[in-house]
Amino acid sequence: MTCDEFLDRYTDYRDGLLSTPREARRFTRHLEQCGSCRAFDEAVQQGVGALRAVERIEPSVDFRRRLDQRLARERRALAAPTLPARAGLAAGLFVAVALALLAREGVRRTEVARVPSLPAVPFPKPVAQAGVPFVSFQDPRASVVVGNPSPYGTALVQPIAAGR
Amino acid sequence: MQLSLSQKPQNARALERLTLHELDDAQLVARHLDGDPQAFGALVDRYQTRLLNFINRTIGDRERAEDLVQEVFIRVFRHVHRFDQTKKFSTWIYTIASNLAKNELRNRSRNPLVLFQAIRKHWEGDQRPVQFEDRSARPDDMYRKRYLKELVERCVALLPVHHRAVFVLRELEGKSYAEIADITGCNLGTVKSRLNRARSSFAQMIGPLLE
Repeated sequence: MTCDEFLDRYTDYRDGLLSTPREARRFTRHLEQCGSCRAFDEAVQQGVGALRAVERIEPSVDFRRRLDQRLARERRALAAPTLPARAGLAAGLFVAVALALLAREGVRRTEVARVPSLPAVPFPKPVAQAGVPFVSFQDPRASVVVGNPSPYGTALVQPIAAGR
Repeated sequence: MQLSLSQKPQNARALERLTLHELDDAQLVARHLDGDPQAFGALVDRYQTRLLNFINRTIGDRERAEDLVQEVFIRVFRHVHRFDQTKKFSTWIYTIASNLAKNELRNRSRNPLVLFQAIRKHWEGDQRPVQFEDRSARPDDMYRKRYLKELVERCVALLPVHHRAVFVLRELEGKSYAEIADITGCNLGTVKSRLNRARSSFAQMIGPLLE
């Protein structure tokens, strides 16, 4: 047995989980022969022994009194379920208010504001620029440009309906 | 011997408490659920010290450990009606304790001020961690014996959190691998490998101090 194998399976050995007595004998033999693994095993055993010998700390004097107070509060809360009752009341009120608002909306006749209609305008003249693939629509009411302002750079495109 | 009227109920209560302490966990849980007001107290008596030591070793802060033990019992009280009574009660209560301890450590790591205060609290005079001990000035045997217990506790505290929990549950609480797996939420293989690494680290730290 090598030291690596011993250390890899040390937990099995220490916790008595080796499957056969033959395996246990191999571990014991390795421990007898290898000082390094023996030192490792002794360190674990002595360290854990010292750790177990450390006095356990006890809860403070106040601990149980505080816990009993908290448990008493828990018991009272269990005995008188006030929170669910309040939550139920709040939920009921909420639903009642929501229903009242809905009913009010159904009864009330809402006034719709009248918007004056805009005057009818002819279809805007689209202008396509030859260089850039961009079509703009001139608003005929803003009649700053009449016709085609730059006949060499752009082409005037009119809707099909305009020619009829 | 004749008992006075005031002595009789006291003695009856003491007798009842004694009887409760002879019951196992499952029976105490059943009694508590049946409405016995003393049964939960018997469970507290049984677990308070064990849980306090377990949490204290995990988080390294006694005062906070007491608060967390209280929280464990409150949670048990609130949810015991949902506890599957075919399972072991001790595994369940240790699982709650382990989760609270883990949360505490997680919260501390997120809060540098708390972490700094915890470190400073343990950083006075001879309270230095083991790895900074001056090995050239070796103390005599009396000194070493006196401080050996303290040293082993510090070695445990220096283990990584996951390894420490598994190590403490196995070596000090005597839990089986299956119970540790349930408590820590790991599979058996992980428990085994963490335990092996924890033992290895522990031996490397404590070995030189035992020579």
